[in-house]
Amino acid sequence: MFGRECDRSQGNRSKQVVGSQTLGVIGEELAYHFLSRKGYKILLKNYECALGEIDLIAKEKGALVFVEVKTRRSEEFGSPLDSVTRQKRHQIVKTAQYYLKRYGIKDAACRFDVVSILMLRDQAPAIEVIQDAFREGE
Amino acid sequence: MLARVLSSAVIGIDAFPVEVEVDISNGLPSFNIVGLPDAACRESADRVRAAIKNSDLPFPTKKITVNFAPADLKKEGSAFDLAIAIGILVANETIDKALVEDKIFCGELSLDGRLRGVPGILPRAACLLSDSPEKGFILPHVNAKEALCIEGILVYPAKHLFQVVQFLKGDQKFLKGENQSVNHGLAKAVSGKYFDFADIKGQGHAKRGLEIAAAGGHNVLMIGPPGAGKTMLARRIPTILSSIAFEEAVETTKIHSVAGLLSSRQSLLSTRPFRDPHHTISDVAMIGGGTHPRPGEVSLAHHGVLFLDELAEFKRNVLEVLRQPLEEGKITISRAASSLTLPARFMLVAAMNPCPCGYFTDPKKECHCTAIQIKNYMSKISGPLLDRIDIQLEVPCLKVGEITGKNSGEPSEAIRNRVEKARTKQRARYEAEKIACNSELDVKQLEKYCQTTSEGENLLKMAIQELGFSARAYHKSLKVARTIADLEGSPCVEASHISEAIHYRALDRNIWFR
Repeated sequence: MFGRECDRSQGNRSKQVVGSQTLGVIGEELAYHFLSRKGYKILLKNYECALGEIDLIAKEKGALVFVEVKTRRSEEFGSPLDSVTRQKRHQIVKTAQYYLKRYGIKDAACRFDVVSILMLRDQAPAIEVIQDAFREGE
Repeated sequence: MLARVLSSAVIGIDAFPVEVEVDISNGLPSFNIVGLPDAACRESADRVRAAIKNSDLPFPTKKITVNFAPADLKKEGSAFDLAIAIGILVANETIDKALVEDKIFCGELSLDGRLRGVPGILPRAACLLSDSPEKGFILPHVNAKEALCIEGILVYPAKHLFQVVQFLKGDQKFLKGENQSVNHGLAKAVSGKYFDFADIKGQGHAKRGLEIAAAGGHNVLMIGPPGAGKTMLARRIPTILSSIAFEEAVETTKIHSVAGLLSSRQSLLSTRPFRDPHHTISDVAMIGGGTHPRPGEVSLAHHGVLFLDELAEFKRNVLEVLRQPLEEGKITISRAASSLTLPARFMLVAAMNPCPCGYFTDPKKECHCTAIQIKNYMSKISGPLLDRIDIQLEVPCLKVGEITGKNSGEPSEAIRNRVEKARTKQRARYEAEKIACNSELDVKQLEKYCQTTSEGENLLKMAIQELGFSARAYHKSLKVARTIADLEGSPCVEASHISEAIHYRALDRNIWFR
């Protein structure tokens, strides 16, 4: 039912080099494991289309969940959650709409979640999931 | 699933039923409101969601569409919050569909689920009575008294969304229906809250004029130097007004309810309104207006008094817009979006100085205004407006003896008793005509009810010839004469009544053209 098209494990957008991997990819990896442990069934990683990109698409309790992962090294420029701006939300909604249309999913309960990861130096990463973080048209 | 919940909306001072339809379906979660809502209405999405969540009730993560039907009428305000919330809970199958069918819902929700009061409850209750009196009216607790003014409907005042939900689920103890009418405080109107005419020394002439005005609902203009007591007199007019009839009170309260001027403790207005806008008022504030037209001062003064202090200081356009309401007792506000007629039958009481410095008529103090200045000052008040004022009073400076004297004037209560008597007479006489007082008589009725003697006839003829009375002035003088006759208890309008009435109209000439 939920097709997989652009299953990539390697992101190629960020120039923010952390060792050999980008911070974003580390965050997405962390979120993947974190959500899996919480009972999410991850269907896709980094779904991408012309309209934008969705970090994770999962199923949880019968609902199709579109997950946006935000990772930050410090809170100096606001919390990771702050960076999910109106434009970003709009883009995610558009991409989700395309995804539903592309695979002919007509009658699914959907949800948008945001995973915020704060990786402070010398500390274990703080992961937080916000379920139903936003809705279409907000 | 689809849910239908009933509510109502207000346009002008009348309410009409509105159906709130809520559809919940799968898909990307969203919350859309359609059916011509205004900004406050559309914002209710956020309030409703928070209120439902904070009342420990489930809020669906689904696509929610709310529609207001009929969709072609503009809906404004926050009064639909409760209906939307209940609609969502019904569509969500938290509440059974059948339980909400015989109820109508009104109220604004706060984020914690408490119900806040909304304006315009009285018109909604009246609409409910005429449309479907068997339905229960669930509304915010603070608005309960207002709704109970209307006899024959069942009201359920609620404080919290949770209460409403528990009640609908069948737990009757959460809300108690009330249908006890609360309009018992009408008869005993004015108490010690206001001042008394006994406070004013002298000015017997002005007091007599105001008594006639109050008895017949005539418009008054008081002219005099500063400090003579014009404002003092005007402030005491409420103490001599006749008590307000129940139907009148309902009409006036509706207007105040729509304007959001009723407090929660108040049900019906028990006294006639007394409005005294400042002279910087705009024309829209005076007659009403706005994109969604709201009542202005003239409508708020319906069945009461509109007092304009320093009449000549008002903007000219503000005074000119008074013409239609003064003549017809209603005001039609037309905007691109809608046109609306509001009742505005008020008694105009105006006060002004005779010239910019104020001492033109003062026998002792020198007036230092030039003739041009006085002319400009007077030109603010146009002929047509002056023509609509039946009683013009000169309020002169008090003499030494009057100021320091110990004897006070007649108390308000004595005057009010006479006014009340005259009003009762008028009401009985005009019962078939559906008007309340002499000032509302039209030309045909005037011929029927204001028969005068041949002597009086001659006096009026002379007034037209010598004083240049217009046709309107002629009619208005007859009405005032009728009121004077009523105060005296005379069934016929005598020559003496006519001559007193004419005398009240000729003041502008006496002052400025002597």
